[in-house]
Amino acid sequence: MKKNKLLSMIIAMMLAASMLVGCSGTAAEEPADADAAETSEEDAGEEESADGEETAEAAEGDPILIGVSASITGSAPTNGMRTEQGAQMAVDEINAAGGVLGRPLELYVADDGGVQDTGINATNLIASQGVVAQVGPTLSGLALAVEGLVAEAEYPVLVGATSPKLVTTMDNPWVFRVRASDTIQAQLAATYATENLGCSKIGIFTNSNDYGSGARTVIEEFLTEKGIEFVTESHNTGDTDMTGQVLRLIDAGVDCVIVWTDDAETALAARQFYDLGLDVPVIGSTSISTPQVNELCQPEWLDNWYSCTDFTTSNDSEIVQTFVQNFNEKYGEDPELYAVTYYSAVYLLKDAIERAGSVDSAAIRDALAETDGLEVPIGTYRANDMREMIHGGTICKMVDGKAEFLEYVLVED
Amino acid sequence: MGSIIVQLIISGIAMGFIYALVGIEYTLIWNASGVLNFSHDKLITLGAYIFGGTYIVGMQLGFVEGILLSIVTVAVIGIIIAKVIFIPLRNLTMIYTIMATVMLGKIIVEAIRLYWGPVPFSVPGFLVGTVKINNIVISIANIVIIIAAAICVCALQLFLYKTKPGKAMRCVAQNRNASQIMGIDVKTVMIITIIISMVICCLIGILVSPLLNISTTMSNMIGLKGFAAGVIGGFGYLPGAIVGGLVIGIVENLASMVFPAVYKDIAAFVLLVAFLLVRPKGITGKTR
Repeated sequence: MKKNKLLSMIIAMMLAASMLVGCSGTAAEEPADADAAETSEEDAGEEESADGEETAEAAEGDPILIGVSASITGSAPTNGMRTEQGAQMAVDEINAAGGVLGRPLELYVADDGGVQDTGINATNLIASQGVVAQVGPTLSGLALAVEGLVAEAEYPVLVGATSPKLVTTMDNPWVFRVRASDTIQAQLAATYATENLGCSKIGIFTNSNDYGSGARTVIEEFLTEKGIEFVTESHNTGDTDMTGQVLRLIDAGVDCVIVWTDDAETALAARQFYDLGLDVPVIGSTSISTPQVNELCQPEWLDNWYSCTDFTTSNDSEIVQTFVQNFNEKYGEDPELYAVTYYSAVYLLKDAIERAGSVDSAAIRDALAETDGLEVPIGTYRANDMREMIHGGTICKMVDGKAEFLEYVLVED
Repeated sequence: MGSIIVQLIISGIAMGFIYALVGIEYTLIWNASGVLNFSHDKLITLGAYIFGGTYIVGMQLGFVEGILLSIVTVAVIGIIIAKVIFIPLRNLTMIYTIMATVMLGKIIVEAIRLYWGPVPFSVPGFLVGTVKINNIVISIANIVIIIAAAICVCALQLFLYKTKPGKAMRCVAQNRNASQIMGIDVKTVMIITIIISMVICCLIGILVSPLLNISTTMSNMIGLKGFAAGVIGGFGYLPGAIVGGLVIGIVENLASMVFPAVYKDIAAFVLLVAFLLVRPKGITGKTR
């Protein structure tokens, strides 16, 4: 009986010990949490200063209100936090430098929760505040859900949504896209494979969902036009074993593979390509260069992998490095895609308001549509007929499991 | 072409053994308590998180210590689950216990999300690498899965047929009331069964972690196919689960040679429906 007691005590202690120890998941979250706390403190401070002394020094007059739809809660709260940080940083910089048309900018942030219904509420809330323009939402589903609202409210919206549907299924003069669409990214991958890497037989390995199959169509069209041979394989979200597909790619003798899929599947593909000896250059979607995928992979799996992405902190151009440094000083962390997207978007608005010479929404919209060659950290903004601002992307090469900037490539559209 | 088929069969056998193990842990609880455990796939995920998240990535232990400690931990959790859910609910209508296990699965997943965080991760250096024979490449993970699963199945057979607790488990499986009258402590047998089932779940989680990465949804498909393995082999009969698992593993891999690979999963479920319609007793024709 005593022995039993002793044993159960040991087991209980072991269990308790195991509960006390976290893992990479929690560890990764902690700094984010700490950061969120910091931000909210800082936000509070900024609000005060916006009403108070700093404004008086830098810019005078009524503030110009800009709405921000960010996914602060929901499945990807980090994205919302970065959206807010990026936009806020741009606003602070602009105000410190004298504001726009002599007036300070002010943000009105609403939480879209990353889902359609909350997103619609958020945009309604923003519209009721009398904003001159809105940045966000980022998710394509949300952008499609709110486009009708902003057409009614009649103010311009700069979205970071990348689905080709934003161009193909609607024609809304108020919606501008401030990130490269998936079409451009996919085209970039195909261009880089054929022109820079000189590949002649390309394997296309995509997810069967909207994201993957959309890119597949673009790549197939591009390769057919160029007369380059290709084979296509696909997989489902949540697939665990890609042996069949990988073996067929090897069997077809491809000299390059373009992989277009989500985070978990990208990591799985990297592992299985490596294990099964598919030893050719691989070009993939932006997933590959994200830290969360890098952490799932051993560095050697990603040898000879390239990534098409919007932004990388390893880009050594001056404008990006200054941005990265300033962001680091302000928030103590490297910026990522969301931060840079909305930082750039606020600067785009500033530029448009200055060129329009007024805060009238229609005038701002017309000025936005005439944007030509505004340099921002995410690239060069130039509006086309479809109100898309970005026409190129960054190619990164994976070195020791980390993304390293290779070059910025423009795509004809 | 020949080498591709061999390679597909080998990875099919490895996945087949995983499905077989799932079928076995599922069947064990069904036999012992008459409860269909719908939280079993979540228990697999939990095993992977305890091993990868806590012992390896968190505490930086060696793989062997990590595996042993994980097994001990899940065994303790098994005792708790048995005492809280399976034993009190054993005499109720099936629907209550099924609902309880479904909810247990939800609780486990949300607890995992809260405790370990929502970001998937992998166990660095665990079962990586490949072996090359001629032009056939076999990953070490697959070899280890096949060996470990085979050992596990043999050990379980020995336990069930050569030891007293094992025989008691078989008695309870055959007739719970009669065994109780014959002096077998049904509650203890149930606890033992659930512990064994939990340990198998944990082993499955550990074995698949190099293949799948550790995430809250890692075992959804394995769970379903393990159930299909049980039905195809003959529900409630352990060797049947092994036969069923291997059949599914190999058939679905070979199907990807003929059909586009996205339809691979469908092969397993078409097989399941076909067996339910044509031969509900399964390949082995035995149910217990």
